[in-house]
Amino acid sequence: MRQAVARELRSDEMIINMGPQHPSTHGVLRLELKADGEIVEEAIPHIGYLHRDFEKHAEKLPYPQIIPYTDRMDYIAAMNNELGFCLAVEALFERGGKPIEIPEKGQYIRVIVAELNRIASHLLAFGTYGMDIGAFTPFLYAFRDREQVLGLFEEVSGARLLYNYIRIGGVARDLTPDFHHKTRRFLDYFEPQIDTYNDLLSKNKVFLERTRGVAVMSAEQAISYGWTGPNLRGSGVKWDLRKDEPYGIYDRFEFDVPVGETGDCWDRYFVRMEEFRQSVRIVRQALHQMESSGLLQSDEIMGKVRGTIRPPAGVVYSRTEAPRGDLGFYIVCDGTEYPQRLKVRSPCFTALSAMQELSRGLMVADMIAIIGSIDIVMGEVDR
Amino acid sequence: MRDMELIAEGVRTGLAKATQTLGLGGEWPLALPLNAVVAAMYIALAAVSVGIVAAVPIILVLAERKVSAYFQDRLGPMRVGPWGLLVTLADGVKLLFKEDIIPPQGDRTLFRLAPYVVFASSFAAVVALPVFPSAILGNVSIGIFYIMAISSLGALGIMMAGWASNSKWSLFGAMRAAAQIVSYEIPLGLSILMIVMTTGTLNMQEIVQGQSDGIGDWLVFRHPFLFGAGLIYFISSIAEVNRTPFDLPEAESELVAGFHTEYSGIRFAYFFLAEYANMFIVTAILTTLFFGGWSSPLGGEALLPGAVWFIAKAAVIIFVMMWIRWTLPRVRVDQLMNLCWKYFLPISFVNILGTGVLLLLEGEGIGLKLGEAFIGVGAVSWVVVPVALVVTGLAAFSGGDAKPRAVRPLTPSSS
Amino acid sequence: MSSVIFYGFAFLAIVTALVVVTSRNVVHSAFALMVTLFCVAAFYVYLDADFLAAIQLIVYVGGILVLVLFGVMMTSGRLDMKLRADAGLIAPAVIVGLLLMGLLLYVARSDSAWKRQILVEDASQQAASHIAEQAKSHTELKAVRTTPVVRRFTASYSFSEAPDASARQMLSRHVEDTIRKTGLTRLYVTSVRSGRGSDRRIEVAVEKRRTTLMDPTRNLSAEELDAMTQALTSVIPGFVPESVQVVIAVEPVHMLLIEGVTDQAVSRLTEDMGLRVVEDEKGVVGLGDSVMMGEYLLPFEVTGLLLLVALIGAAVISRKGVVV
Repeated sequence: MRQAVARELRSDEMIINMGPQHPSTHGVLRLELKADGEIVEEAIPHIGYLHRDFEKHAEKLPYPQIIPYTDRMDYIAAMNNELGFCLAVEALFERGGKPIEIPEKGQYIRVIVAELNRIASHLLAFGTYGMDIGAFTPFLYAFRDREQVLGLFEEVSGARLLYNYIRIGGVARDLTPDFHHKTRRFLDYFEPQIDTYNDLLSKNKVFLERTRGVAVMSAEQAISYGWTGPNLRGSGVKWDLRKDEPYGIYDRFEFDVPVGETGDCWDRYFVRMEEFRQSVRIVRQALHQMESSGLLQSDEIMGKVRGTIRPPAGVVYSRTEAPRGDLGFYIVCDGTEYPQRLKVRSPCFTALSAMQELSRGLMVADMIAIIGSIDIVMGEVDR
Repeated sequence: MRDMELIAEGVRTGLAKATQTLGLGGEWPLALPLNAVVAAMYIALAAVSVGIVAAVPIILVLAERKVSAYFQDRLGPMRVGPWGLLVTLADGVKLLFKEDIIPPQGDRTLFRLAPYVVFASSFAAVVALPVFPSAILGNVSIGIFYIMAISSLGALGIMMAGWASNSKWSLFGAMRAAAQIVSYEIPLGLSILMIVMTTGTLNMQEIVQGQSDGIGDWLVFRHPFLFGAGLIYFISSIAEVNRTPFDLPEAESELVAGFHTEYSGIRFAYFFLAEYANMFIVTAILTTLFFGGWSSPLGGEALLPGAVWFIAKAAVIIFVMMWIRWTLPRVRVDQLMNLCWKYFLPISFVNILGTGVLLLLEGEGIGLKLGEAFIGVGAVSWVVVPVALVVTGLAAFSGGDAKPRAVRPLTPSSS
Repeated sequence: MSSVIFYGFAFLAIVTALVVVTSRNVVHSAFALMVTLFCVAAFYVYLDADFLAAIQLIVYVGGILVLVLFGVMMTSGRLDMKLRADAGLIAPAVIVGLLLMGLLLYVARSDSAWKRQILVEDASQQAASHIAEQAKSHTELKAVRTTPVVRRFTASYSFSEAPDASARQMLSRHVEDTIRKTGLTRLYVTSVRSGRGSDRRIEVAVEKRRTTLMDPTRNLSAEELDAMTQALTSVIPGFVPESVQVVIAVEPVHMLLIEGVTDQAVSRLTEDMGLRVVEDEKGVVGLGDSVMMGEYLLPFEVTGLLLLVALIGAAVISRKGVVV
């Protein structure tokens, strides 16, 4: 009713352009807002500013050389991208009857770095979300803790942000001798920090007012838009690939899957806060299991893989639970050392596609809250 | 003006004596026309005022950067000068040398005028602050009222800036800022009304003199209604100076920088200075009205000179303002208006009612007699009112923590 | 000096008012109006009406002008409008304009209470004849009349020991109650101060407002003074009588009524005669009795009429169908 009347009256409609250079759009995203005063009628995202043609490049690169490129898609959670890709290639080998045997230590290291990267990624999501809403301090606390994780990664792989560490068949380098001490120390320090962050931001009345009840996405709508990951879990759907379709050795760990209730911005955000705890649990268990089975002394981190990787011809679609959702790799292999076609299913892309639905009838200030809550990284949206 | 001429005469004779003792001839100062001396005195007063408005932000900017740094587990500026003390000067020099960019499609006259309007309102308000017990730059008989009047000019300067920048975002920011400032002037004024009711005068010095009997005499502690008024005044003043959590007009992540997006260089410096000067002014007013101004907690001017007490109290309150800024997120514009009109206004009215009733009772000499001692109504109310509030609160909000309800459930779309 | 600033404000007010009316850019007009209203506030200060000046700033500049600006900025329509009325309307417009201008000038130059009233201290008790004689030699002043005026007295309370902070408030309220009980009008407590040089004394000053030479009954008469003295020296509630002593001191002043309003002439007069000016009442719109409803009712109504004409004119101009 309101929309019909508005169309007739032709009231003061403004077209506001948010981005592509904007402090809160998490990368180069252009949002075209048709706003009636303060209320947003339509929000049309324009993407492609960070398109670097990853999939086309991949067709000309041998499989191991694609791994650094996968890093650069979701550059915040690089390890998970690498893991997804390597699992896809290993699945090709398995489908073709020549499975690669990944040693136990390699598997454990993969889990540890993937979960640590999940923590780092969610820290960034938490910090920048607070900053967008106007609380500047959590951002700095988050980055202080993120520095510690990146320090661990630097020890293990040599790089802080883009690692090129998880390889087809295992991982590139072994852990340093006191890596597990340092990791344990970090986890002991970090777990109480989660409560601090909850006290500072999650339970803050002003923050609640800004995010509670804003942009509610029901479970059916979320599924129909293809949402996955914390966004889907925020809407109440208990779906986590690590539990429902476990890959690697995730079935050896005990952890919960936090699920939201209403599907508003706060729920999506809080699911990520709770996932901190679960990731900490997983890493602890991994370290403990590694220790108790004496893997720390072993140095077998890479399976028996040839220098040139030529997977048997075939088609595979393999998916993993990245911090932002269900990251899928679809590889068409023709038996050569280059993939014939590589397509990535990006969870951020599908999350962003619901922008129009989410933002109808909300205010300009809420747009910021929404973008922060769905936690998108334009590198992955555009590839 | 008569007083000024008398003072000018005094200045002239004093100058004559001074030049005589210095051997520069003691006759020529007496020949100076009185008008010129008066004019020179006015210029000197204006210079002092400008000096304060320029000096205070310098200190406050540094304080803000250091305070925010320590809250955020880092050190802040450390390299510019020892411990980073010269950082504001460095900033000022940098801003001076920046290119002067004026948006080509914008309104050039208004663009240039806006920073001065905002700055002028701060500068005119500084004059009436009672920092010293004995002297005040402008002891206006309508002290606090004058400050309120002059501060309302700032909103206009902001609107000018937003309009002249010829950008939808700036205009948005300017409108929001003006609406915010004008709305929050009401609880502000009502809190000031309570002070004026209690002290019976608008004159700032007299208000402070009425609180110079020690910490129990400070208006904020007299009874809970004045305490509530102080609290509401404090929060409204944060909204008046556009600081987080009420800094929508300058929201960095939403409108880039709101109404001063298009400003660079020294023009931006004016806005910046005016914001911090305003912060100091509202804090100074809070100190004067509620916390006893230049009087010490032990009464009169014990231990330290009055000006030191004044600055110390203002500094503590400014620290609390900064603390709040770095802790709380930003409030949305409709929530902000909601807060003002639906919460602060009714609470202010209740406060006025309470203050009036207590004044009446005090005037009749009603209180509690415990044997020999006589406890005034104010002290009694400190027990009665919180108890009443707690009982009412428990009665109204019983039933456990209400589940946060969805404010805007999504309407089913046509797809 | 103050006249220089006044002329500055006056010039600014006129210039910006012209800008308001003639500017093509509506937003410029609005901001020029802000300056004009600010100058009007300054005029109020010159008329000794500080309170009114502050009200003017808060209400007009901080409230109404913000409203006007919102309206102007939101209707982002045509900003450059050239308004031209029909040729047939010019003659009546000029005539009406001239009439209103004439009315304004007449009112501005009418000599109702626009005289200077100065209160000077009479130390020698012989000021009356002295002044009248001396004034004859100052020929640029049209007339100087003088009358002894009693308009202020101070009730001074001495305590046997230093009074506490609430004493001041109690005393002031006591005096106000006394005034009310005696039924005297236009008496106000103007200040409550500690005695000079002694902290055991509190002085309450009472003033009769709006005294004028035009009406001698408006000053504080001897009977009123007697009544007040009697009432004030009676029992004061809340104080032990023996510890308080009341002394009523009357300020002996003379009021000079001078026609001819230059500051310099007046100051020369008082300097030459060696009088100390106690107060220089130039104000016509100060607190106290309202002049607007008394002597200045005609100008007030004329202003209202002008406002009405302006409103109607604006409505006529902005209706659709006018040539643009």
